[in-house]
Amino acid sequence: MSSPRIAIAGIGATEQGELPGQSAELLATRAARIAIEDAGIDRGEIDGLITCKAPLTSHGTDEAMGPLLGINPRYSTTLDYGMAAFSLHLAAMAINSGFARTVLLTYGTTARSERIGFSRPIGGSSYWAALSGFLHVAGPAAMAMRRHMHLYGTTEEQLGWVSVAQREWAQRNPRAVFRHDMSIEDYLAMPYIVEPLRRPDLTVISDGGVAMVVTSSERARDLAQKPVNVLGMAQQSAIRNEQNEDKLMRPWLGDIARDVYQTSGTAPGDVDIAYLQDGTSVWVLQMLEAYGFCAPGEAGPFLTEGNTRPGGSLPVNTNGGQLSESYTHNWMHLYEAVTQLRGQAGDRQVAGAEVALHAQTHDFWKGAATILSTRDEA
Amino acid sequence: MSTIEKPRPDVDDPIVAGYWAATREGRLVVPRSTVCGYQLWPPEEVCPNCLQPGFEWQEVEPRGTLWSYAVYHRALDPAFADDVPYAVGLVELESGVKMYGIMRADLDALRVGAPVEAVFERLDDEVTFVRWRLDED
Repeated sequence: MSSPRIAIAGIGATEQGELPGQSAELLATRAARIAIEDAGIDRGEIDGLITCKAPLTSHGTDEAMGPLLGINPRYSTTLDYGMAAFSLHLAAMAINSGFARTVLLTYGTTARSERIGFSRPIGGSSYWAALSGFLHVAGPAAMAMRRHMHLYGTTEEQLGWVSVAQREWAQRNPRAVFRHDMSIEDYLAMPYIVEPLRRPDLTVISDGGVAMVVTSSERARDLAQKPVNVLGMAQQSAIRNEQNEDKLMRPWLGDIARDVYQTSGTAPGDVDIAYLQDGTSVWVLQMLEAYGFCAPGEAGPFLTEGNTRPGGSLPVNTNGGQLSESYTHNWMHLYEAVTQLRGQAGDRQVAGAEVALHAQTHDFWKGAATILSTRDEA
Repeated sequence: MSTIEKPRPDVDDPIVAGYWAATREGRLVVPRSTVCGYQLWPPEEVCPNCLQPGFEWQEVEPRGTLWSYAVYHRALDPAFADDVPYAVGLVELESGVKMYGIMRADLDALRVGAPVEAVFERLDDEVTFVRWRLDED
């Protein structure tokens, strides 16, 4: 395994919640200021900027961020889908290709304040889905869950442990939006939104900003924080759209898992903490299997055993994730992974956490995963 | 009554016009490439197998099995407020094509793998929707 070349050197985040009166660009800029300070660099050292549009909006382009950030980086661009893993990987490509040495990543969303409508057909075949009332990410997720229940005997209670465990983590995170008690009995007593899914199976919608400073591992060693190295990364798209399971069971997650373990020289047993994007709880259940933490079909029992809860064998989404902490499309998951690996997670610190998996999907279209560590190699 | 209108298909769109022409006659059809013979769903501008335009509409048996389903208890689109609770199924036809559709069935009777058959529901002179019911035979 060659030594890592890329590291996350600085992180910044605003409060998360309902933040009226602040634009997505302002939130992203506030986070950027914190990330730059955290890394201990001068703003003028930033020669790359990768911004994200929050999905379903036009907010947060590099041209909208430039005037607030006050920089003219050599390389700047915007990803149309505002998601952490894809931005991090693009930064790695920019640095490895010599386009930039120090890249600032920004993300801001006002999804809560703007009441962005998510009740639209999502996934493949939107024309046909709309005619059938097959709306909102909850629909495909419920359909995928029903299929999982049929194939493997998975139960609603087993699924419930995804969000109950993440609520337990959120209760140790002052930044989390949802922190009130929720037992498995409370969960099961809630009404369905799209059966078999209930409200806690679906993402929080909140406002907030997140930013990161990414540079070479070599350079990061001279900066203010312990570098969090990228040991491996992988992506896979599923942009074809035909009569198959890609938009529901997402078997292509397994391709990402194979590649991210291979490129990092790790195996599932090496992962101390996992950050699995949870626009719905069903995605966590799928990823536990796809990333090899349990056998296919075994995520239900794995969850009920408490493996993902505080004190469990595989802490998952220790910030509370999208189900309890904040929206932000896995940005706060990446922030949390860095925080944990640095040993700065306070009441929810996982002792001895040295290797993290950060796995993300753009719902049904593509996915990305990264193995992160403060170590130089697996 | 909901005052928000449901989405309505453009039955004259050439990519899908043949489908809506068939449903008006109570037939279910899917596009098949006239170049390579590939059968696809949903319809597209070109065949993703041979990258060429040109399709014929192939009639298929309006029966299949319920691959999975989701039951909407909340009207996530207000246009469907009068319909909740309703189920959307993914139906797998014998040819392997899978298509979404609203289920016309007792929601408690739905089971993955159940045989289903198409119901042709006439909305007006232009639009006939394909819904699905459990095939009791």
